[in-house]
Amino acid sequence: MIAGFGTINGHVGGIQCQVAGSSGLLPAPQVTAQATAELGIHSNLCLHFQGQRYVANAAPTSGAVGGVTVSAVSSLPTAPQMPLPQAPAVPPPQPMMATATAAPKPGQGGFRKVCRTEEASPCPFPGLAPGVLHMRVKEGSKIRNLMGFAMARMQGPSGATAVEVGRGGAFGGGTGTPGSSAGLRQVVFCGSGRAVTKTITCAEIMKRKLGGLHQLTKLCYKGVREVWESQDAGGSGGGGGGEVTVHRTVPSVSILLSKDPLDPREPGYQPPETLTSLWAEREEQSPPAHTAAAKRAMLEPHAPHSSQPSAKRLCVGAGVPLRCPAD
Amino acid sequence: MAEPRSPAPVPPNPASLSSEGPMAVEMDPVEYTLRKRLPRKLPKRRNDVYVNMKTDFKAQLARCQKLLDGGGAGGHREICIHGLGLAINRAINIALQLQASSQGALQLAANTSTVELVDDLEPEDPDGEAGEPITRTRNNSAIHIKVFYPAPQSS
Repeated sequence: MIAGFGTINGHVGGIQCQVAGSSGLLPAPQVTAQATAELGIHSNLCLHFQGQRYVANAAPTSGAVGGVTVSAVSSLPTAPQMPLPQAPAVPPPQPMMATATAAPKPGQGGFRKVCRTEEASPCPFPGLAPGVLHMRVKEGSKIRNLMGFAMARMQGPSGATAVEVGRGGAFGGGTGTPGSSAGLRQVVFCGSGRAVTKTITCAEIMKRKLGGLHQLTKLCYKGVREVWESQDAGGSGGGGGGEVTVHRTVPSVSILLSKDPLDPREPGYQPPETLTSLWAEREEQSPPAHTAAAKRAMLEPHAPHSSQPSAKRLCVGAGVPLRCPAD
Repeated sequence: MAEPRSPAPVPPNPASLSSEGPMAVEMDPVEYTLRKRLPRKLPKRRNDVYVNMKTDFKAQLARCQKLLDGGGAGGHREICIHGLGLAINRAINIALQLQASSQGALQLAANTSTVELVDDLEPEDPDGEAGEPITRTRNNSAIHIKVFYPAPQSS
């Protein structure tokens, strides 16, 4: 989440960044130790992620680098130093998140979550070419940020330059590099826990907007370590006695979207434009559905509510055209 | 399946709406009840399982396990687990649990799709004069996980 969030905010959400910076950093050195811990961990993740991606794509957006690195330096002195081309221009977006999570949450038995780290797991897509955009969706990620970034990268230089012009220089000179000729060919969305739904939604939106994308979906468990702190410990002291580390495994999903054909024998493969054929194929396999729908249609006049028939009718009506190709 | 619509209309009575949402009253003199229609459920074979968030997780897991094991009549070689919206998480969880308990004998193949949902906005008006029912459509994500024993390589 933070990776996508930070990166996008670097060049898209200028106004959000300002607000975040002023609330989190400038007048508030009393941002609690929890916030710092949160920042530290997330910025580590961030840098790791960004490093991977920049190496792979060789087309960094300097604004994004600036945003992430500023936050890392301000919160965690041991964070690796990166060049800061526009450091003062881009206030970090992270403090907003940090303060939000540092706020006490009621109804959790006097504990609050201090930080959450995902354990590294092997890439679910072996043999993936380098230079694939890897979007990590977290539960707080904004879909508009994720999609704005991913779509710009997938649509190639035309889209990217449009963003650059529109956002007025926050992109810097990074996108002008001749690395990406016609946009990226593949993108991976992955998310775990509560971000699974959002991850799928992102993939679905991208499929609908771009069209002709081959999809490969993989499911796996992911280990997550959470540190919870007792609220009696005084809060801002930091690192106090009442800390509990919880080890959880949460379901996670990784979706590879590709403009190039993928192996159709791989489990979880979906050819382009399966929105309707998926259902048609299922219908074909299941003749009992016919009788069930017919029964429902017969029962329809006896519906007690006024709006129920329309609902039913819509149901049945939607089923009929789908059934036609199967027959 | 038997109910025509979601049993949790939001908000259920006008009193709670006006107490907690004065903004809505200012915006629109007519109050509406949001009724969510049930999503359409197209295929319903024996081995289709629709996961929801109301049924106990263990019960749904046991149901899937039973389908695969087969109670005397020979289990299914594959089942399809469908989850919509928030239930996506649970559907994935069930599928992964099944796979884990089979010691790797089961394979998963997940497909995603978008489901169009319809909401009805019915005017909350005792006289029944002001306003007409409005329908809105929105999209939600869904997942369809095929849990299957992989076929022997000869075929």
